[in-house]
Amino acid sequence: MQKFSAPGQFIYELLPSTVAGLGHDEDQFVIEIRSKESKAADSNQHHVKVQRRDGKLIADPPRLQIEAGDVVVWNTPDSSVAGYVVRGEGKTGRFSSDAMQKEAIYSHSFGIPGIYYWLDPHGGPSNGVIEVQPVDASDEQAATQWREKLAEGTVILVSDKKVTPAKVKILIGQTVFWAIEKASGIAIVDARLINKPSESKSKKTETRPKK
Amino acid sequence: MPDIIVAADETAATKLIHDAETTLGTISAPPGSGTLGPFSATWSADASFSGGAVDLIAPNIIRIANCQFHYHVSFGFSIDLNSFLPHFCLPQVCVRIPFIGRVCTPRICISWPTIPLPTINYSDLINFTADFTLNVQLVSGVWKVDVVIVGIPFLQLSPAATAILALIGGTVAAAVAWVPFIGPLLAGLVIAVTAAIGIAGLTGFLGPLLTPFVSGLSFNIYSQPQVFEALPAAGPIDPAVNINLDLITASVQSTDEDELVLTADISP
Repeated sequence: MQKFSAPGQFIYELLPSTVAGLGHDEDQFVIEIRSKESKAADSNQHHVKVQRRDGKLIADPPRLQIEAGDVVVWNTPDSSVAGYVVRGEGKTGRFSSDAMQKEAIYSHSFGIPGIYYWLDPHGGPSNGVIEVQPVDASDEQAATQWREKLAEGTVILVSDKKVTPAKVKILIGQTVFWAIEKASGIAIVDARLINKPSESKSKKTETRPKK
Repeated sequence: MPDIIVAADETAATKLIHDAETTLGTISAPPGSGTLGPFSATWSADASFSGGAVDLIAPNIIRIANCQFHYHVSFGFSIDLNSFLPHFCLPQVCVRIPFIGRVCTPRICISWPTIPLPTINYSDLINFTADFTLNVQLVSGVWKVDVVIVGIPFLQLSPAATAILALIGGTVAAAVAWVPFIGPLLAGLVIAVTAAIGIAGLTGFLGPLLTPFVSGLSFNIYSQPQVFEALPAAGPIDPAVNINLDLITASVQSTDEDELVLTADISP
């Protein structure tokens, strides 16, 4: 998710995580930001669906018109679409989901219990722990309670080098939001993927990233 | 009057049967497929026999009590989890972030995968008691005396079915543990899958799988070429002496004790 606070236009690409940064030839998509007209206190949220078509990642809709202060959410409902990076540039700045700098959010729903250590693969100081607790929803009451809990999200605020809270405890299926207020370009990655065995204690991991 | 009479008491007959079981060795059934509850399963099986107490009953019955039927079955099938798990969606999750405002994730529905289970292996033994009858035949110049099972013995499969059902449950749980979001639903899934198969389903699956091993079961207790060399040749003018077994009979006779009796008519 990315908030666009100033009017302007951004051209962006959707890059498979494995080739991001390798000059891959991908389609380009547009976000046009106009001055805020409505006086509503809350910003609007716009959803962009990421799909795979003819071997390329496609944004639907390819062109988005929003107001300053609105938030754009990139999401794929297709589990066959692997991890991807959203990277854009405009006259007023640039944004990238693998190097978040300000007013950006990364969210992840945890589907397998365990203890997950996360960090910034760019070497920044931000890191933390997420404990995902199992649930037995075999009886109807437990299942109903668990489903209600799934609608509750947890927010981790990242501002410069400060992470609040650094340790989080959630139930399986719940969603964590990393909200980047200010950073030098941060990504959120499972520490196991960076081969740091001293920080790796989780069981299995899963990937259902949303941006 | 036969030329040769050989008799074996129940102790000797037991030894004959046990040796014949060992000689028979392991029998393998060709791989096949069948219905296992709501699933289509592929399977293979092999078996061997051992032990048993022999009771000779005139005129022609050899009763083997508590013969041990050792078997091993391997089978596998796939589970379409969508058939057993409820429709599951992650709800929209909304949070308020100080420098952004209220943001929400979209509602995402999960499509459960089809999981092929790893091959399930199970070994066990069943004791059964059956009557066998004596069968003597000349096959390609060889006299064979076999004990051939009468009918199809009852195989008690319920204990095995119960054990295999538990094994399936454990295999399912292990095979799907990696599926995201399945944890809270896992216990219910295992119950649903094992209930779908059921003890009756497993018994119905094992019966056709194992019965062929005992249906028509026979052990060869005696085998002898019709023409055999009684004395080897001692020189060019002293040829070998052959004996022809013209007829062999086998029966159970009850005199002062029960005996398995083989007789042979011979000619030079």
